[in-house]
Amino acid sequence: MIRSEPRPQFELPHTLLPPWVMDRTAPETLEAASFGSGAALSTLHLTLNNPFYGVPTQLLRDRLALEAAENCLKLQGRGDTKAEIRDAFYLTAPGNDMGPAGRMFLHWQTVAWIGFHKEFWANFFIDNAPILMKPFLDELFANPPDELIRGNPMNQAVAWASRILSEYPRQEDVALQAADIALCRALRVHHVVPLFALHIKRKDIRALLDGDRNAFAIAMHRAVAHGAQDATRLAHDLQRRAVRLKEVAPKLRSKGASQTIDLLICRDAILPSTNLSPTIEGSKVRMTSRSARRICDRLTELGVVRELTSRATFRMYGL
Amino acid sequence: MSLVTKKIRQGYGQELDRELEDLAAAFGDEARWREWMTRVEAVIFASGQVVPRETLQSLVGASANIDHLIADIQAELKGRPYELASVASGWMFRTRTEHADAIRKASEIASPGDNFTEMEMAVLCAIAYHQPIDRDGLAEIFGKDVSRDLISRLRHRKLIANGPRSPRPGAPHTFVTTEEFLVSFDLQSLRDLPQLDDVMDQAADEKQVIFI
Repeated sequence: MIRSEPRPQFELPHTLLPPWVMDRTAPETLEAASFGSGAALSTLHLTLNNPFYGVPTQLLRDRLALEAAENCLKLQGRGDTKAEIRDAFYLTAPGNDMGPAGRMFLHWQTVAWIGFHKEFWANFFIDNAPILMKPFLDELFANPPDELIRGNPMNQAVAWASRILSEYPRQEDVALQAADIALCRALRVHHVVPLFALHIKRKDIRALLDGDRNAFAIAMHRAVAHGAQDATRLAHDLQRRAVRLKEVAPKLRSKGASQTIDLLICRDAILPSTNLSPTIEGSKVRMTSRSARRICDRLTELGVVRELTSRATFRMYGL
Repeated sequence: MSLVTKKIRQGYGQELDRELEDLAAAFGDEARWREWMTRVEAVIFASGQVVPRETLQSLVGASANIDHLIADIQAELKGRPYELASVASGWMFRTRTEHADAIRKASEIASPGDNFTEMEMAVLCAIAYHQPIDRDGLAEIFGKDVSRDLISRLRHRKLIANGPRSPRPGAPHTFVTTEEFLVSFDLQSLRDLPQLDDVMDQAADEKQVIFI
């Protein structure tokens, strides 16, 4: 059996950011919080845009979407774990209903796949939201009030979230998606990276609804600082995993191996029986369900892919 | 063609007599017009949705004017608490607006829960709170198997639908609640379901048994 070469493992420090970004002893002021969010976003920017580094950004955004979905479900009083969300999402046959958890992930994933270069990108977001909100959101995108498009990117994002929450206080997911979209657009990033939803708590939303806009703004800054930190750490982790996955490619003899690897490098998880068989998603290469299972087992054996469910059947694989 | 299909062709499959020439010959045009009126009224009454003009035209003779038929029916319904109303694409029966208060009051009393057996209601609640959940999961909650008939009754009423497959041997379907469920229980979203803790407290106060 061919084994992958033992590689030196670089343990990343728990916090990649300098400690002064997350200084918890500092008083909770807007200045302190915005200093932190700015610093964290800048680190994330450097990580994602380093041409010599090559972070699998599509996979990163997909996984952040999963995190965001998990936390938004928590905001709604549901306790679905990541594993349950994945099950609901991936095991739903076409035409059936994903249920609340799967739908939440679907919505976040749709937002995380938005590219601003595409025409009508806003429709992907608006069509996600409950149908009742459509006229409101259409109007907001068509004629945004000044506060939503002026000022620094963070202020715009906070303004979007506050505007939507004051109208629809129970659509946190929609409000936070709009904040991510506004931030990424103002930062001139090409795609939406879910950041805010990872760390917003119920009490932050309640503060806004009670009229404390300042507390909400601070919470949003802190959320983005923590979110950007998570994203940076995840980006480094996924980059190393992607490099290792590409390195084992020559050892795979199976037809469709390179397409399988391409898919693994852009998806949070794959279910061999649907994503790889009968054809590998995103390509025209055919694969039997048996060879789909085998290639995933082989990659797990080589230690470059993780089996995510720890079940004997209905297994899912991801980096 | 088998004997059975031949019989069906002769009996049930027979083309509806639209023109009613025999009736007109025996009893006059008046009787035929009346028959057409009752036909149109019966079809609109039986339908839960708006009946479009084309459907009605296919029931009566080619020469019959639908608008005149409808006008005659409406004239007969004068003084009744319901009317034959013309809506966007056709016609439907509806109660007159002046009775709205009475009807609203009555529907408050007859809440949607009234049409359910206790077990149906309990299973529906369990699915609402624990969705997506399969029959095994329901059996764990109730301590016994939940009959397929009960599930299909709920499904037939469009309150539940098939959800993701459960990652167990045989990949059984799980069940999730539908939009229809939210509408019939007057909920905006699943978050409007009462918090289970509150329900438990209330039940303890009222000394009721709760299944969940």
